[in-house]
Formats: sequence, C-alpha cells, structure tokens
Amino acid sequence: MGIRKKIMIGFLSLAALLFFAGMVSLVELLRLSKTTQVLLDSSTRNIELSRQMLDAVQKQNTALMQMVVAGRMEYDSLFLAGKRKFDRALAQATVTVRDLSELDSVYNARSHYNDVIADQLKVSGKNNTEWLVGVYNKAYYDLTSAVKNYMVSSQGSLGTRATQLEGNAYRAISPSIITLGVVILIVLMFFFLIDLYYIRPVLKITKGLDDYLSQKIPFNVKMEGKDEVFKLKEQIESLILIIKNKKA
Amino acid sequence: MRFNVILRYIGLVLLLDAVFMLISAVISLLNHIDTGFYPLLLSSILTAVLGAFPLIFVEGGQQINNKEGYAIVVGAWIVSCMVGTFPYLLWGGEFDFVNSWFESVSGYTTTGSTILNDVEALPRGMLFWRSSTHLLGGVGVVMFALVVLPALGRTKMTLSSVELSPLAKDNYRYRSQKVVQILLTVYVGLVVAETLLLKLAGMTWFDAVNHAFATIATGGFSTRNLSIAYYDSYWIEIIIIVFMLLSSIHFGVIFATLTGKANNLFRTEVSRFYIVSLVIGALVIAASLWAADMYPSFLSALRYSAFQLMSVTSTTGFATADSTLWTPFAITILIFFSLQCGCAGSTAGGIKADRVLLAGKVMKSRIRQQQHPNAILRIKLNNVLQDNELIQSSMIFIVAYMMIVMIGTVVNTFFGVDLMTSFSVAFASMGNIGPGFGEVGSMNTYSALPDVVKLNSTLIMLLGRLEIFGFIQLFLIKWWK
Repeated sequence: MGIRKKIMIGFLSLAALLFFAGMVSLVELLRLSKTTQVLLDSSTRNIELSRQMLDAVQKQNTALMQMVVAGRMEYDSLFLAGKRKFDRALAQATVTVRDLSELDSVYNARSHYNDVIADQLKVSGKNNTEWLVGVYNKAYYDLTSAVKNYMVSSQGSLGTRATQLEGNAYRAISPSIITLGVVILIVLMFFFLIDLYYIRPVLKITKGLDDYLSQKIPFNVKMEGKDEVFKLKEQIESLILIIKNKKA
Repeated sequence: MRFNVILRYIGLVLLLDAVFMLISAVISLLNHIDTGFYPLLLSSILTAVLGAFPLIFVEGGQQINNKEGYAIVVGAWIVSCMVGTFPYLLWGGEFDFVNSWFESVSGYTTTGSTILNDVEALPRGMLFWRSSTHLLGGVGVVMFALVVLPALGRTKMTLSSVELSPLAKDNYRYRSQKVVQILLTVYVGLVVAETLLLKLAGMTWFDAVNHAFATIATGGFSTRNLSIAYYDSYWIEIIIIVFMLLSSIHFGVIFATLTGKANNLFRTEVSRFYIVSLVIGALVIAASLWAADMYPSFLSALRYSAFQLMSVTSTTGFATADSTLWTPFAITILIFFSLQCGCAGSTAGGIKADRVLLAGKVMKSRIRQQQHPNAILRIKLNNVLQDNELIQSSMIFIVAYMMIVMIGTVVNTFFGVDLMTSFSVAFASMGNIGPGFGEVGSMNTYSALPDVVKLNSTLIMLLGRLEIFGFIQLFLIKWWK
C-alpha cells in the first residue's frame, strides 16, 4: 500500500469514527429530546385538564349556591355547563392518562359529588344549610382534593422521569467523550507510525546524501519495506551509480 | 524492542475483541434493539478501528523476540481490559469509570467478581459481552491471536511462554503449535458440551451459553442475581461441578485422557492429588456443616459444600449458598483451597496444586536431608525429575504470591475495610476467584467497597492472571532497552 493510501485511510478512519460517534450522540439526543417533549406535553396537559376540572367544579359550586340557598333556579344552565365541562375534561384525561388508576379517586369523588347533589335537588328547600355544611362541603372538598392530587401525582412521576432523562443525557454525551479519547490515541499512534515509517527514513536518506556530497561517504542507507520512500532510496542509489559511471 | 510490531499484535487481539462486541450488539438487535445496542455497536467500531490502525502501517510476518512476546501478552491484556470498559461506560447505569474498569478487568482475568447489585437489569447484549470477556480472557487473549495469525513460526512459543506457567509447559510434551491446538480443542469442546448439557438440564439457551463461557473460563459471571442458586436444580449443579473440575485441570491431561494416552487424568500425580484433596475437603466441610445443624442431612450439606468448594478451588466463583454463614472450620478449609486453587495448564488462577505439591515434596526432602546430610536427594513430580531452577522459581512464586496477598490486605485495611473483607478481597483477586468472605461473600458484590480498594483489586487480579513476574517485567525500565 502506498503512502498516500495509508495516510488517507488513517484520516478517513478518524473522520469515520467522529462521524459515527456524532451520529450515536445525535440519535441519543433525539431520543432525549423526544422523551423531554413527551414529559413536558404530558405535564402541561395534566395541569391544563386539572385546571379545567377545578374551574368546572367551581362553576357548579357557584350555581348550586344560587339554586339551593337563594332558590334562583335560572342558574341551572350554569350548573349544567360546569358539569359538562368537568365531564369533558375528565374524559380527555382518561384518554391521555398513562395509568388509569391515577384517575380512580377523581372518578369516585365525582360520582359521590353528583349523587349528593342529585339527592338534594330532588328534595330542594329542606334543611339546605345543614346539607351544605354537613354533606355538600365534604363532597366538594373530596372532589377538589382528588383533582389536585391527580395534578400532583402527574408531577410526582417527574422524579423517575428525571432519572431516565439523566441516563439519556449520559448516553448522549459519553460516546463523544470516549470517541475523543480513542481519536487522541489514534492520533498519537498515527504520529508515531508516520514518524517511524516516513519521517525517519527521509531524514536518513537526507543525511546519507549529505554525507555523500560533503564527505564522499558511500551512500548506504538501510531500509525495510517496499513503499515510495524505499523506491526513492533505490532511485538515489541508481543516480549515484550513473554519476559514478559517467565520471569513470 | 520494536513498538510497531507490538502494536500490530495488540491490534489483532483488539480486532477479536471487536468481533465479540459486534456479536453482543447483534444479540441486542435481536432483542428488540435493547439499550445495549448502541453502546455495543459503537464500542465494536471504536475497538475495530483502534485495532486495525497499526495493521495499515506495520507489515506482518515479522519474527518477535522473547521480550516483545512478553510485552504483547501483557500489553494485549491491559489494552483489552481498557477497551472492554467501553460498552459499560457507554451504557451507564451502575457503571461509572472505576466500576467499568473493575468489571472489565474482572471479566478478562476470569475473576468473576462484580460491582453490579442487579445483574438482571442489564440488557441481554451487555450480559453476553460480560460473559464474552471471560471467554476471551480464559483461553488467553494472545492464544486467540495466535490462531488467527497465519504462519507465525517461532512466534507461538514466545507468546505462550508468558501465558502458561513454567510448570504447565513442562507438562505439555508437544510442540508449541500443538499446544495451542490442544488448548483450543479442549476449550471449545468443553464449552459446547457444557452448553448442551445445561440446556438439557433446564436452562434457556442464552443462560446455558453464558454459564458455559463462565465455567470453562473459570470466571463466574452469572446472568442471575442469585447465581446458580437461582435454578435450585441438582442436575445443573452437578453439571457445573463436573465442568468446573475439568476446567481447573491441565488441559493437556484432559486431552491425553480423551485420546487414550498414558499420561492421563488418573495417572498424573498432580491430578490425583488435586482430585483426592477436593473429595476430602468436600467431605470434611459437609461433616462440619452437618454437625453444626446447618443443613437437615449430610447429603444436603455435601451438595452445598461440594459446589462451593469446587467453585472456589477452580476459581470460578459461582454460588449456591452463602458460605460466609458457614462454620469457622469450613471457612478455614475454603480459604486454604482459595490459596491453592486449580492445576497449572488450566484456566484457573492461584498458587496451583502443582506448586503446593512441589512445596510439600521440598519440605519432605529438607527433613530427609537433615536426617541424611550426605544423601543426594532428588525431587520428582509426575515421575519427572524437577531441576533446581524450577523448584526455586516455584518457591519464590509462592512467597511472592503470599506477600502480594498480605500487601493487598494492608492496603485495603488502610482505606477502612474490615480485616476479613480486606484479606478476602486480596486473596480472591490474586487467585482470580471472585467471591470471598466478609462483605464480599458468595452472595454479595464488590459495589460497597471504596473506589481505591476496587482499583487495588484490579491490579492484584492482573498480577495473579499473569503469574506475577510477567506483569512486573513490563514496568521495569531497564527491561525495555
């Protein structure tokens, strides 16, 4: 193999290594980016849905106060709008949630809340204050707590996800660091081999020629291999022989 | 010393490492591209380029001298340990830099001690790579290179003189090329036979292959957190006991036995001494455990004592019981066998049964000499007269071995590790055994040890694997001139 080819293979190897390490890092970074996006999306969605649910319960609560305490039944539409909004948010949460058990307490609390209101609306006007303080407030508190817990539980999984992200980030960075180490090793090896096989022989030939020209010491450079430097040495030897013959 | 020639041979060994990394990556690929795929693939490419680079410049077919042979063996071992850390470092998890280095050295030196608390959390490709380091280390990284290298001539003997202990070489009565062939035939034959038998006994193919790699290399990496105790199977234990025994006996003797030669397993003095001492050891430990009411019956005690004793003596390190809970007497017997270990010419580490037997004969001869001062006494081993140089080098080896164990213990205690654990870590690393006693018992890992103690252990593992002097030579500046 010629010098040019060897050196080219050397540089191509280095380039290929860096390229491949870069690709692996890129794949891992894309994975990291995707995981982070999923995490952020899910977190944002959970917060938004929880907010909608709390907003809907608040609406229902306001309407119910007007209906039950003040007897203003025209608030019925607001009450129903709140109910629909809550059901819609809950249905959306059910579709997107990773673990359905996270929503169990919300479903239970919601069901109890609806039952409590439905029972009271049937017998409206009787012992409203007692019902509000004794029964309704508890059901309302349980429901809002369940929704808040759902919101917090989605945040709670962040710890595990963060560890996963840390692992992904490590896998994205480590290929570059290790490849860099290997590239440094190869560069050192490259330098050593180039020095051994090309620089030192060229210096030897130069010194041999210098000795021959200045002090007439016979050109006798010993070399191994069959590459271009070896051929150069042979050509110089032939040239010296021709000159000697011409002089003779 | 021609560094370029050394680089070429080390490069060939690295290419072999790269092939096994690639096979591990393929296993990851077949396992739905598990998390081990990219680390293994990248490691394979990095190692292949690193190994192939010197081959571009340095031409093959060059004769190597004795010193270069030493440098190639020790260099190949150390560089293999280094590139062996790549998959672990790239995978992450429990593997930081020190842990990766420890796991890699432990694999290549066939020690089998681990820093992993949860082995089963590793993806399949990584588990296979872990076992492959045993396979590569077991047969000797250099032996592999010798097989793949065409027309090496004298090179072979120069390299194998480092790999095999002088006693082992003395026992091989073949040409050097034949030695390599015998070693590989026996090695591969044992791996295949054990894999098939373990599969028949109920293991999955994957577990059978991994455990066969670990047994024949006398390594000890398992694919299960509970090691062999996970299977709770008499048949699996019996198969592994038999193969641990075979792997710790001179491979040339096994070959001679299989081919019907006279110098066989039952006629060789060292093999007889080794097997008889193991039988007595297992019976004595079983009696001790049974007398202490640790097991319901003598047979049950024998089942566990035989496995643990064979595991420790062959330097494999598999476990079916927590021997740290055994009686002090049983532990003492196990420590004795941990120092002696298997026979020369096998993949086992330690002082070797050959040297222990020789030391006994030297002592006997010394006593006789005092009784008959003018008598000319000669020492024979396997009916072969042992020259003074070999006897002297064996005795020096035993002294050096014990000194390193002592120094290792002192260093470990200096960093706050208790005495039993420190001593265990030192002798288990020196003998390439793996588990010891104290905090590093048969059912524990090395993860809780300080980093500096882990690094100290890896140094001792390399010293033990390269029979002390082979490793030390490399670091003597005068030697390089």
